[in-house]
Amino acid sequence: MTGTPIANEIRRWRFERGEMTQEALAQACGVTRQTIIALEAGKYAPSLELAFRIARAFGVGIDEVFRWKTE
Amino acid sequence: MVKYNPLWLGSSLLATAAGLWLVFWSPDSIVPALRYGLGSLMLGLGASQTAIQFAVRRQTTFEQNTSAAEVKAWLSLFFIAAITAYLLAGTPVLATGPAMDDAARIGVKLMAILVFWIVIAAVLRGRRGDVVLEDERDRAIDARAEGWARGALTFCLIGLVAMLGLSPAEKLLWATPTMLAFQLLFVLLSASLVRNAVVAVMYWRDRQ
Repeated sequence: MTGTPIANEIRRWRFERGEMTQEALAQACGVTRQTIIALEAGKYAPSLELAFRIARAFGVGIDEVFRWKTE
Repeated sequence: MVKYNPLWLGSSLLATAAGLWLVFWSPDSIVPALRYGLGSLMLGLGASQTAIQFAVRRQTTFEQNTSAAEVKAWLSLFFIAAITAYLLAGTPVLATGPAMDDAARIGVKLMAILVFWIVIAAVLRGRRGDVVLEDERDRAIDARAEGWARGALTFCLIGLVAMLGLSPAEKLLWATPTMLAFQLLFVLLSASLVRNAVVAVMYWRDRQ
């Protein structure tokens, strides 16, 4: 599960949403806290559905959370 | 309400270890009443008290950072390795076609390992409370490990078929029906070992 071309701003958005905990985000998206940890560390690329769930949990568009690393 | 007591947990673990030793590894010179009577009692009481103490203990940082699927994989790896080692150690008995007593003894011990495994797995799962235990990442890791397990299964089966098909008859005297049955069981156990090892290593690498 290492090395994904997708970068994300999950950590930044968590802090911008009142220091939302990884546990709270995991609950909001229906995943384990360890998956949020792996996502933040860039060790896992989420499915399209999970990417949308995460973006919705922050109340922003998907492109504001995820992007290609080359961009 | 039961409260966590480290002293009680330590004593329970000691009783479990002593019970395990008496039932599984004590020398034959110890009388059966002590081995199976007292041993089983210590194992049963020790394991149940250990389970209760673990159930009421607060989660450690390690537990918080480790997913349920990873814990399950490590646990499965440990117990499948234990079952494989136990069967391998009993191979000389199995080679001659086990007598009824030997077969019953092996069966009882294997059953005890299975019960022990199920209880520990249930306790560790229960400690996680009402949270999501598995998600798409766990399933993705599992799918990749499944591929490795299929490869290991195919490799071992082809190896077994080649060995049986290409060896001269005089070198296959060991291949009694019982031994062949156990060879096939070992193939299945090997595939399961590979699967759980791959899952455990993938989670471990992700945590680094």
